[in-house]
Amino acid sequence: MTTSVDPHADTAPAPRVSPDARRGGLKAAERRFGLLLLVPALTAFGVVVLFPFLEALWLSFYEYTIAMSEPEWTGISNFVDVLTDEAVIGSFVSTLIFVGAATVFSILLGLGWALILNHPFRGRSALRGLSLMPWVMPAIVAAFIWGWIFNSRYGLLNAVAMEFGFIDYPQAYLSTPGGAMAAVVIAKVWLSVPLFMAFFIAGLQSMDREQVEAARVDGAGNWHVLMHHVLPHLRPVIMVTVVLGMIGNLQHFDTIWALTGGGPVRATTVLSIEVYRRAFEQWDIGMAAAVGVVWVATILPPAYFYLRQLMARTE
Amino acid sequence: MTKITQSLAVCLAAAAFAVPAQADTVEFMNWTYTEDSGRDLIQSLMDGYAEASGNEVEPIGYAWSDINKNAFLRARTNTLPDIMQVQARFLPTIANIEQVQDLNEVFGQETLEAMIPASFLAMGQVDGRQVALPWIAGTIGMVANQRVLDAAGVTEIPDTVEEFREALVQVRDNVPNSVPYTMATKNNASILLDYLIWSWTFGADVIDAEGNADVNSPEGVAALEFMVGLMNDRLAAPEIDRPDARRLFGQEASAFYFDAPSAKNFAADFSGQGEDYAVNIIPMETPTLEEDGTPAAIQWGHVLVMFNEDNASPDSAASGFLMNLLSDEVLVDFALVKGALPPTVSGLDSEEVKSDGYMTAWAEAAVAPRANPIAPLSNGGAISDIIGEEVQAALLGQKTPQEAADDLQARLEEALAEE
Amino acid sequence: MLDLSSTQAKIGFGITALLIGFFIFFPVYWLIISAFKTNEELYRVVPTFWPQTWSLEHFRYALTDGGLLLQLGNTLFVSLGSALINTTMAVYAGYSFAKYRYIGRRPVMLFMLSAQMFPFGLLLITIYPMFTGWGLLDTRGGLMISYIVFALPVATYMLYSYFSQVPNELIEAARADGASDLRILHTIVLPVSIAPIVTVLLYSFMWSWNDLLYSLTLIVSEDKRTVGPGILLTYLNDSHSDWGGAMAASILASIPVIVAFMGLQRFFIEGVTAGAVK
Repeated sequence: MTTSVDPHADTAPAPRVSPDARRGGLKAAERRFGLLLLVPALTAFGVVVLFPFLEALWLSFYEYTIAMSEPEWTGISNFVDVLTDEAVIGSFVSTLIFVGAATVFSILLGLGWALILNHPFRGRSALRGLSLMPWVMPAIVAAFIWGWIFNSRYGLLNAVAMEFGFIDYPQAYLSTPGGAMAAVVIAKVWLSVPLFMAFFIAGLQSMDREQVEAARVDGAGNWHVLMHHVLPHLRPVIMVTVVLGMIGNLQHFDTIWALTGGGPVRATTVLSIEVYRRAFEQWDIGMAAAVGVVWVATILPPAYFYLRQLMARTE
Repeated sequence: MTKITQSLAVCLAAAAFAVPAQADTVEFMNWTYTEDSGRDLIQSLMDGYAEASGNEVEPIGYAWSDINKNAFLRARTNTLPDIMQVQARFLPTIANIEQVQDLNEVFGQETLEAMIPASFLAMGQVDGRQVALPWIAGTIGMVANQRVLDAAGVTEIPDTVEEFREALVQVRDNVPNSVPYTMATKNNASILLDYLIWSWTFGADVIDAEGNADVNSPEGVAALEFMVGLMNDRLAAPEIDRPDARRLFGQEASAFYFDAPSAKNFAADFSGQGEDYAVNIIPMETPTLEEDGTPAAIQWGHVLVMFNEDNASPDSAASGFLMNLLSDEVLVDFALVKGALPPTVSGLDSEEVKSDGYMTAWAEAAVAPRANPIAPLSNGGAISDIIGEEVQAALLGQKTPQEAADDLQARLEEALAEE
Repeated sequence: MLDLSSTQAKIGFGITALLIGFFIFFPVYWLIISAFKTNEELYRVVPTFWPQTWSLEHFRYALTDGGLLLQLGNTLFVSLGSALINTTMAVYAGYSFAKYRYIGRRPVMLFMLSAQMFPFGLLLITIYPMFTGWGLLDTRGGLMISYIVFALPVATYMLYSYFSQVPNELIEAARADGASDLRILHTIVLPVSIAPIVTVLLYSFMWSWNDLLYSLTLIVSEDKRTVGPGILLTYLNDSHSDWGGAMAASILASIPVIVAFMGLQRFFIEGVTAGAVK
């Protein structure tokens, strides 16, 4: 730590002689250092993500069930099965609906709540902190609470609806395809709103207030300010939340499994449920892997372009 | 100097040999240990064996719903336990694991046949191999809650399907907010059992002796129509899985449901009144179409599987533990507490079993239990999902019984052809 | 930002606030009052919206018989550990992506992010045997490492986008003074990056905190079990369901995290988008 460098030293290090030479030499050294910084993350990523991913890719070309001690090569037959299976196609549709709806509503409500909590009022800070609670609760409990609300017997929704005379008998919301999908989306949105709210609050804080004031002087209403100043300013935040929402919702498993188990029939069998069932209920690892691979192949092109654009904006 | 070292080495070696053979550890993978009501029970079984033998037993607990997944993952990594508790209907799947030992070769077929009656020994057989020994045995049959029947004014246990229906209507009309029969309507694996029993009752095989699908025959459709009719008349309800049924039953919001004999313990737990409540739980014959028909029931039980060749001698610690679990002193109490039968000759013959009214009644109610025909299929998991989905579609009104039965027939034929 | 001087705007603002607030807080409210109800009141068909008798029974059970404190300790240990591991690696990787130029930089990053779309459940099929081989199965350390799957790529990305805006001049100036690159990162860049780092810490912490899929499979021993599986196995399993106990246990388990969040909120809210907003 005591090796200080004297900037006035006459005997400057060699690279200083020629600016170009210095740049070339240092660039290589810098690059090496940059790559060195990557080593820990890439190693970890390689071991716990990439290698398992490649093995799954490999297994998707094999038949591998519990009855077999070694996987057996079957070529593309798993993929043929996956792509011709109506049930699998159905789970792609369910996944699109779930991920789409959960992402959109999480962002809308997160943004709405952020705008409200951005307005100064007493107790705002405490309210912001408390708003993170859904995120902090163990996810299993979130599933349980919402299951309770929609439950056909002890459910709160039924109790309230019957109290007000809207219905005569308890309704089984989770037993209709639409109701079950709505329930899993609502539960997931509830879990996600706090995170997104935090993102938007932060985005709002860096807004240029003078610009908004100026627009107000020109007679702009709330709606105009929202559409022409706030949203454009938040655009990068929205783009990031879309990525986080997509990843989080795509991978979401616990609350769906606990709330509906993928049912009724197959109404909420999203990709993560389908893969889990194939792998751990039907013991068909090859098919489970094939479903996962088809999924990644479907999502990768749009994801790639989206992420590339996102990176281009960042730099 | 060298001499001293040498003699020291000799001494040490001698000492090492003089020490009695090191105590072995038996790994016992089971789900009962993870259940509140079972932990102490299993702990005392393990302690008992440890004390008697000097060996250790290490419990590996997984939840019931997670244990097969973990057996599979462990098979992939050669970390299978020595002994594992398996639900009898999943045994054919587990039997695929290479390290499963044929217990006829370990203990000798004659020894086992002398110890365990043939009908129970069959629970542990797959393709002619004795891959498991029965631990506790029973059937899945119907139970009624006497207190709910009293509240509804039902005076006699229904005998025919017609009487059963009438009893359900009485319960619905007289016990507010009840689900008279908590039929499984949510989880595929649970729906399967209720569906099998009603199909058999109406004379459809679901999967017949030759392994063909039999679900859209007039009998099969009639069974499904009966189940759908119960839903339409609010005699059964959507969103019911076995745990929901147990809770509602114990809380006196349901009069009938299908379960293993442990129904008694669940009811005691959920009633909040403890063991005293068990007197209200009546094992009954599944209603039949005609009077004096044969009531349908499914064979049920937990079996014990041994893994790893190292254990495959009668002197191994694992064998010792297995035999200890099946000895009268240990087994009889355990089985009765679990509300099941001890499947050994001497256990069945014991005074405790004979004097247990509940078990006697249960055995009388299930005269001719049938084996679950889905269980032995190599793609049983997938087939169970197919049945669950189509039956559920009918129960929830998404398909008519006829449509669901036709679709189910077609899907089963396809899946069975792949088998 | 919003102008609430008109009555119309006030009403609109108020109604929106009430609706969203109700959506967020009603379930929380329900959870809390349920934990204080007696079992008899809990399972009534017509629910009560305020406990008739307040009972601490569920809390007592959770604290004494349920093994909650041990599980909470395990969860905090594993979640904090994995958050630290993830964040440390993400700091270096994010900085590398942001401030160095080399071939394959963007594709590698894109690939890392894209791999987050592959079902986590399937990765388990390989991770499980791998961990067994390394003796990491049924260890808290193994669980910690497995959580790299959940958060490392996004954490790296979040820090990358923050570091991208750290002015190059700052780094160049330090370099001109002869500071080594590692030293620049540690003594110049990191001190101005506390907020985004805290954010990333919390982000990866929450993934581990909420996990059920991995912890249910990779942990077997009761003494290493974490809160999520613990609640599931103790209160909401196939043979037993104790709603009040589950509610009480989850409230108790959440308290330390809520307190920590309140304290770190300032950083979190600053940091969350410090990276995303250019």
